[in-house]
Amino acid sequence: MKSLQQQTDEELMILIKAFNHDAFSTLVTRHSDRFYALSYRTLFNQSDAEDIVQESFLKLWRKPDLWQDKKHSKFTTWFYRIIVNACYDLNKKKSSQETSLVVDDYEQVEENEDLSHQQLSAIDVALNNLPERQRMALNLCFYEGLSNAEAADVMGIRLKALQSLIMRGKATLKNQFNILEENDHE
Amino acid sequence: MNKSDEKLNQLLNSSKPVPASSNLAQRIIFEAKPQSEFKVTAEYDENFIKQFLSSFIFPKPAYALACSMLIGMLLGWQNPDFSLNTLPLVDIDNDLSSLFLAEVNFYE
Repeated sequence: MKSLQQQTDEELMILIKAFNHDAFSTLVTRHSDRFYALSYRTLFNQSDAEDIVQESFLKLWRKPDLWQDKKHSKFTTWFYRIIVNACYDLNKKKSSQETSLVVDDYEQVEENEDLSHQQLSAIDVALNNLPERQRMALNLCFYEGLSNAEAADVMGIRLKALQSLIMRGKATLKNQFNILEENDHE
Repeated sequence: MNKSDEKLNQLLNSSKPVPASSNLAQRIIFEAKPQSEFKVTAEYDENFIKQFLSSFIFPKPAYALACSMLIGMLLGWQNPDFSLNTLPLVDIDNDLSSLFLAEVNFYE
């Protein structure tokens, strides 16, 4: 009989549906860093990223039936989708809160943002300034190593739309860092 | 892959996320633990309540029978004249007598 460590994510999910806490622990230990990395690169805020991962896993524990093995989807692809949606929701919430702030508070927020950006590298700042969906497309395909089809599935868009997002994101970054296309002809 | 893409990839590779707290996984596992115990108790309570309530549930044919009886009773109340006691027995007597008279007339 296979130990929990040897079991696939999908096998662990079946055990989690039967309230097996050890299976849940194994799944969390196996994947928490990977999902944290995605949410960090989306939000560029450590505590928010950790909260997203924690809440998503706890949601999975409370409602394991949300994952349906009949659909034959990989657990990681499905969970990436949950993380992505949670990040989108948090960003939406934050942006609506910022618009409701009075001017003094807004200045304070800007100062805080400047301080936090000082700790980020130039590429992180550039990534953070990209539109949300372009950033997510780059994150999934470049950093998480998903295929274009998988990333499109996670984001709930068509393959061509994803390719376009990646292309536009890369073009913006190349512009910002003065990476010229004419170098190609050298 | 062209040179500009290679340069961009190098740049992207230089980005490293701030590592998560060392106890992130442990924190999640710990948070889920008390809920697991609560969950089992809650599941037990839920099942008990469901079983208790299900003992009061009638099968569907019983509902159909009850409904048709109710409709029958309502119709009965709405038409109080329609009953076996008020059937026109007198008319039957009249009919019989008229039949008798007709027969007598025929032979006459």
